[in-house]
Amino acid sequence: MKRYILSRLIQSVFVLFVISLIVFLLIRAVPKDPIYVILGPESQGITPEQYAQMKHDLGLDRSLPVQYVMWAQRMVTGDWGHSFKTKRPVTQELATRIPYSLQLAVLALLLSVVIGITTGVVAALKRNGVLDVISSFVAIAGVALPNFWFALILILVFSVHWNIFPAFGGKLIWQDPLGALQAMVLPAAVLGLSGTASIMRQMRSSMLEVMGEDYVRTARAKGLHERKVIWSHAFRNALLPIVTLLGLRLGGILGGSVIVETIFSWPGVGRLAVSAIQEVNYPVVQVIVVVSGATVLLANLITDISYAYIDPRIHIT
Amino acid sequence: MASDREGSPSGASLKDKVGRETQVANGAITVGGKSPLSRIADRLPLQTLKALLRHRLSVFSLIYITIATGAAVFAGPLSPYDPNAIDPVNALAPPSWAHPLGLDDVGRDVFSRLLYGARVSMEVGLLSATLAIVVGVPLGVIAAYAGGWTEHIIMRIIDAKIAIPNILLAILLVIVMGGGVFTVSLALSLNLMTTQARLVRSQALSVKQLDYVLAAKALGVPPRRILAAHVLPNAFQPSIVQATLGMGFAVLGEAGLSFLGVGVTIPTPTWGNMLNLAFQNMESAPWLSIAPGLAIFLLVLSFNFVGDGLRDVLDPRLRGRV
Repeated sequence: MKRYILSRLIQSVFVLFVISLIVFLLIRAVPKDPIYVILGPESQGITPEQYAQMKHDLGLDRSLPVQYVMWAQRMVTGDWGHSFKTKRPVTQELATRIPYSLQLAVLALLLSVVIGITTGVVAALKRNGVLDVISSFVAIAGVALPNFWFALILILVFSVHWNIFPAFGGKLIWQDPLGALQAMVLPAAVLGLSGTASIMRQMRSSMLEVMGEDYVRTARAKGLHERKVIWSHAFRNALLPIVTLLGLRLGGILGGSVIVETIFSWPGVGRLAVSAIQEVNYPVVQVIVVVSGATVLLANLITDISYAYIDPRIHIT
Repeated sequence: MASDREGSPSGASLKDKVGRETQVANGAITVGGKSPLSRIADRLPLQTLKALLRHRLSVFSLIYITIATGAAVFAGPLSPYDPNAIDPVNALAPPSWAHPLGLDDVGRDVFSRLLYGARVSMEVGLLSATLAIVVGVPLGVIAAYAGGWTEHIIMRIIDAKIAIPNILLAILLVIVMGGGVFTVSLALSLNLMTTQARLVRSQALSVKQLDYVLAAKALGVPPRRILAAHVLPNAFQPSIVQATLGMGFAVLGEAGLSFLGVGVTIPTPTWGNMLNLAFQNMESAPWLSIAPGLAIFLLVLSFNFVGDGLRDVLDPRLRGRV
């Protein structure tokens, strides 16, 4: 087990290296000069000396390999650089944004887990019942519905028409719990839809599969109460594949909400990433991509390890 | 197993380096006269289409895809107006007999733009699914066959790509290469490519272990032949299913990028950038968001259903179970 985790970690470090290289080169390939973007309209009167000085200050006058090595060294030592735009440390920029993304993602995940698992189980137990039909529609829609269109419709109905929920702006739950919840209803619904759909689908099919297993028949044959058969024999085993889905969702917590955050003007990491890309804000883009990549890798690792604990049949070597 | 389908009793002939023909008693090795590509083409015969037509949802989906394709191909003659002709006086006019879907923010006819928008969606869908196969399949085959460090490096690069949020990577790529149908397709095909590569690699790894492939190898059949005769035909069907589903993802991805303003940009009409305009004029012209959104939703849905249908039809083990 220890060896497995160690080798996975080593692999992950290599994958992170590739990720950092990709984003480092890609953001520098954007055909915009960060100096002009930073200066904005002021760049009209800039002298070549001033330009060269700025470039030097930002370390952009060095060769690409030197820039990469310097950046990588600083990343490893915890110095994540300063935003070109605000001049604040990138860590600070992230620290103000992550709570917003996190609370939204957690609420969305919570919604999809609760709704997905309960409807999935009920749909499986009452096959072809009303809920089964409804849930299969939701499952289909959740995969194919463009989330920005869904958001648009929700805003039209609940913000423009009825004015129940705000269409934009974010609040933190520990500062204004009610306001934050109200502001999160629509974005969380949009963000949670695809998760709900996939969990529902998986829960239904794995529940159906488990109900046909020998041990469920045995449990019934020995006269166990049907409720006990379902909840302590079938349900617990059917939950297993959900772990993988949860792992995937957890991994996507930082990067998965770009469009939703943009539509609802939610001040999270996703929106920061989009504006940073457009402003060729190298340090911010690089850190966001590497950090969200690391989140995905970590979530995958945790998922794989947790399998060994949940399911004693699985041995990781 | 998929390999059973290969098992025609006829022996195949192989030429070795000297040019002698070697009869191989194993029916699986039927490279013989036909080229591998035409053999692959034989795999999707009328029967598949017929079986697919028995799948009700697939039929509706195929009908919708046909309509969308028709709109894309014949957008010119079908459009009542020039999609870029503006009429600022009547901007944001609601649906009427003259303009069934209304006018947008500068007075362009929404119905005409919807027809032209189908063009971009279909092009992006087809192009990115094709690119994904063209690059992803060889990549997966190389990874499986080379093994060792080559495989390790290819797989880790794929892992890296998967760990980067799709949408951020796509935005970056499109900004770097400049917007447009081709660059958007290229950016979106990366997602599908990694799926294809992984799929083909796992197929290749499992086929590599089969007895008749080991036998062929022992007989000295060159790896290229084994690849063409066994690995690719086996990987072909899941690949096609994946490509169909992938077209749905690409349509969705293009719409998302164009909605964010980094994909295919105005004046070229796409369903995504039409929704962007709808979003900006949400309060004064709420009807603008309905048609393009529905068009995207139905197209993605259709590709998904056809993909699922194809999977059912091509894999007899799943027939009737899904």
